[in-house]
Amino acid sequence: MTPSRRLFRLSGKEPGPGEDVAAEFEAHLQHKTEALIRSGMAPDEARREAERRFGTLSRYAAECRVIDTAERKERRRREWWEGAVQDLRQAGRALLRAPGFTITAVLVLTLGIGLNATVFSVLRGVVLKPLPYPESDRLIKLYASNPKDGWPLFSVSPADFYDWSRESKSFHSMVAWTASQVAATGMGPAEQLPVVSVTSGFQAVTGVAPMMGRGFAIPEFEAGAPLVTILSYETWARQFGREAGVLGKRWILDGESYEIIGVMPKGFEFPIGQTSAWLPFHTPKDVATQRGAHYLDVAGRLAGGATVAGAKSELVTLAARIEKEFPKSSANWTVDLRPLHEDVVEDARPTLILLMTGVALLLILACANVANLVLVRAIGRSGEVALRSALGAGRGRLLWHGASEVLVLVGIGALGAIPVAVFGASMIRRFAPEGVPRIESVRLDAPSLLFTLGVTALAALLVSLAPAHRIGRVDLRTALSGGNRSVGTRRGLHRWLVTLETAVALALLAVAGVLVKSKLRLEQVNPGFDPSSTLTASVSLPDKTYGKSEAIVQFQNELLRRLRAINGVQSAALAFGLPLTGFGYSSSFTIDSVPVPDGVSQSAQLRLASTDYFTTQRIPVVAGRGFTAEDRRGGRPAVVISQAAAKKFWPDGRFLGRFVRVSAQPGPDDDRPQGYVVGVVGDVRERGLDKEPRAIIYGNTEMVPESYLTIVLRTTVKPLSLVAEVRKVVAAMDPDIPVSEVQTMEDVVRHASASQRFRAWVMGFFALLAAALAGLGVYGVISHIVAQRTREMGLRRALGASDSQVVGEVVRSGMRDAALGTAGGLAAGWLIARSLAKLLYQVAPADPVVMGLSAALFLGVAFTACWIPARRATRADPVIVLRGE
Amino acid sequence: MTTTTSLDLLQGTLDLLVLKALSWGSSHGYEVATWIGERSDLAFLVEEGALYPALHRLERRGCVESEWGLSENNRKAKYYQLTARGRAQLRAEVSLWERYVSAVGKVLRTAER
Repeated sequence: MTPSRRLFRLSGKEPGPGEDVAAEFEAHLQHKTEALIRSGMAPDEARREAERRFGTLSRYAAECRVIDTAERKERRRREWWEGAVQDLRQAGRALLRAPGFTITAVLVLTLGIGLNATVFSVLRGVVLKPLPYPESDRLIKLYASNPKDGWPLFSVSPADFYDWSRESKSFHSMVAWTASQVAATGMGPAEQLPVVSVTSGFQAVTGVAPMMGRGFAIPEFEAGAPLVTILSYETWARQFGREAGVLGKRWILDGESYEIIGVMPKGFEFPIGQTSAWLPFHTPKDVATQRGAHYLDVAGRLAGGATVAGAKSELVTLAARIEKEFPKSSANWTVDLRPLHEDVVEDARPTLILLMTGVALLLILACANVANLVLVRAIGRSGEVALRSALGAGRGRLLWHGASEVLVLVGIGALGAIPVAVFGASMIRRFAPEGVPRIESVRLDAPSLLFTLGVTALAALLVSLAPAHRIGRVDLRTALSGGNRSVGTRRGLHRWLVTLETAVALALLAVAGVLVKSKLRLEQVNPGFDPSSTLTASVSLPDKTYGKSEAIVQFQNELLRRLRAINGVQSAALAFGLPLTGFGYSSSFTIDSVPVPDGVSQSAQLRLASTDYFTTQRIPVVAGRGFTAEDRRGGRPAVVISQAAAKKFWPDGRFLGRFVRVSAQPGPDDDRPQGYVVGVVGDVRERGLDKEPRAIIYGNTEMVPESYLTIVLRTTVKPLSLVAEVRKVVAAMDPDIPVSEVQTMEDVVRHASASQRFRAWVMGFFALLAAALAGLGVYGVISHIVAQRTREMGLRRALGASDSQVVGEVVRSGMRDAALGTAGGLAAGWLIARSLAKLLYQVAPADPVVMGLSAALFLGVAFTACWIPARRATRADPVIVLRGE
Repeated sequence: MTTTTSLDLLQGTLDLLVLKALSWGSSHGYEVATWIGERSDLAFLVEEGALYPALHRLERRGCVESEWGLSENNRKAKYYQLTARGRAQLRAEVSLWERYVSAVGKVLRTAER
């Protein structure tokens, strides 16, 4: 660009393309006319001749204007880019000159953006991502529902399932399944694997075909059909080394030989969670009698045009008909359903929304801090800005110039955020409580990165607002003439930052405090047993070898004998279902064979326990006795009940000797838990530490032989040091029996509060980070104010004010702003905590102790952050301060 | 030869001639027109105004740059001047033109099939 043009741009408006071209053409015509006159033409004629030779003026002018307009546009764009790049480069250099500022700002932004990306990638992987089935939004989870008895969403009985799937028109297809653990043998040490038995709707509902081989054929669902299985991709890879010839091979599960007929594609899971293989669910012969046995999960694919509401009303009508037809087994039972996706993510959603709120607040804090830092720099540069402004730089240009540093900072912060997010996601994968669906698939993927970019843009916008705000208010004369000495009380934005940061930090502290208190409360709950020094492990006996009850009983007794002989074992017992593991089922029962009247529900949780079980778990026997050696197969049948059961079903206290018989349970009739009540034991928290104990009926493991058993050992040594011994004992008895789920009862209890602990830890971490960031922010603001008022303070000290007076004034002004934020922060914290009420255990959202402690903690931080810089100001010698600049 | 084809042909040629005219130093539009008019019979084919789109186009392509100034008889006029890029362009186009003319000439001079 020529110097003259540059001058043009600075000094005012460029002439429009039209005027320019007209002047140019006129000059041409005049030159030509003059030349013609010189050659002897009359002036009039000369002008006419010049115009004739020139041609159609308007056409050429139009052509030139088009070209010029395009040229101008290109030039402007080029200049803008050059300027922008230059500004960025300048910003980079300026940042390098202020490493302290740069490092602080980048770290704060990296953390803020990185944590947001982390939590968003978890939210996306767990909640937002569609399920891995074609048209997965048409998949619906169906429940048997009995709200009157407190089971709004319950498993389905086979009889109901077959009726629903046969008669419903709203569903294209329906599938029922039941998950179990099987022992895989014949390939190295016996291994316990999760398998799922599915009904024939499996393929139609999921819409996914095997990657290799075929799906199940209809005859394979008949009882007694040859046994077949379909492997998951992971099993095929891990167990069979991706062997191409796996189809047709046989695999021993629970002692039975299964033919492998297919392999599902990679990443396929149904239901959501890990499954090693699928087996056909063999239709029970006595389906009709199994209406009261609820143990199936059911999902369906909606037919074209059907809606969730329509399907629900159809099934409710159907259930009403079934209820009328079978009042005994189906009283009060109806149907409920909800989209499968909702069903899967339901439990994880509140936690993740909580975490998202937490990181969003952290990002606001990070932005506020960086905004403050940028603002301080902007004030320091008011002179420079004013100079540029005086030289004619436009407002937009100044804004961009101010924002360019922010852009560089946020850009670096966003780059740094990527590893933070990758690391964060891996930490969450590792430490997330068990049962979070799809957690293993959480990755920082493209959509999460896009989200990060969006967050980054937002952060940049928020942060660059600060200097922009300044630019609007720079007073040229003050800034150019006097430096910053005379800045008066116009610190509005600064003080608002202190208030905002206090509010955000306190909100997070309050929420975290409530969660931590809830966790502590939960951990103080007495579960009803003593989890210390207790080891548990499960064994499952293959049906083929141990199909007969006698064989199971013999195995049990021998196992107990050998376990008791282990050095370090104080007592040993067996159980079917441990508390707090979610394993077990409930059933209705009769007392003294009196039929339960229609419409009345009389049900309890069922457990099986061996001799010594109650002593081993240290569950107190309150009345009568626990199981002893006299309770053996063939003897007088006995059951033990829990205190809650005694209170609920025998309010008169006359329970001993009453005959209890469980009415519905899958399995042969004789082996249903039944017997005379011989004792009452203390309540145990069955379903969760935060749930009140329910009525439990304990049957005896020997009288009701189950092939799946859990060993419980009370030890005199460290429980886990006996694991090898236990495995040895079981392997010595039968090498084909896998030992699984080895854990201490302390682990079980810890597990039961894992979600609470996870939330408390993560939010606690966020809150401490927030307090630190906010403390840093307040410190920064106060430092800046003090730095600006050093002269004034020096003057006042020279005039006789004491140090403490000067310090006190600074601290007071800072604390006033913080106190204002305290009120807002506590209110916000209460609002957030109130929305979490469901996640809290015995803590009110506005717990006064938590609120008070949070406020005290943060005000302490704020006080320190005010006091340090204020104190520093008094150290300076007033004479030097007053004389110097 | 119809008018349109002659203009099409001329457009590229005109650019080349304008570059050549400016290669002697900065001049305004009228001078360029006169310079070309004196050395060719193009004036019979092309209106003088056609020069200006050519000049503006060259400016947009960065081959020339312009500046307002005063002409020798004290009139305001827009002066054009070759840039480094324009000079390179001129060299390239001259050599291209010469090869083109000699190639076409060779064909036209051939007497027999």
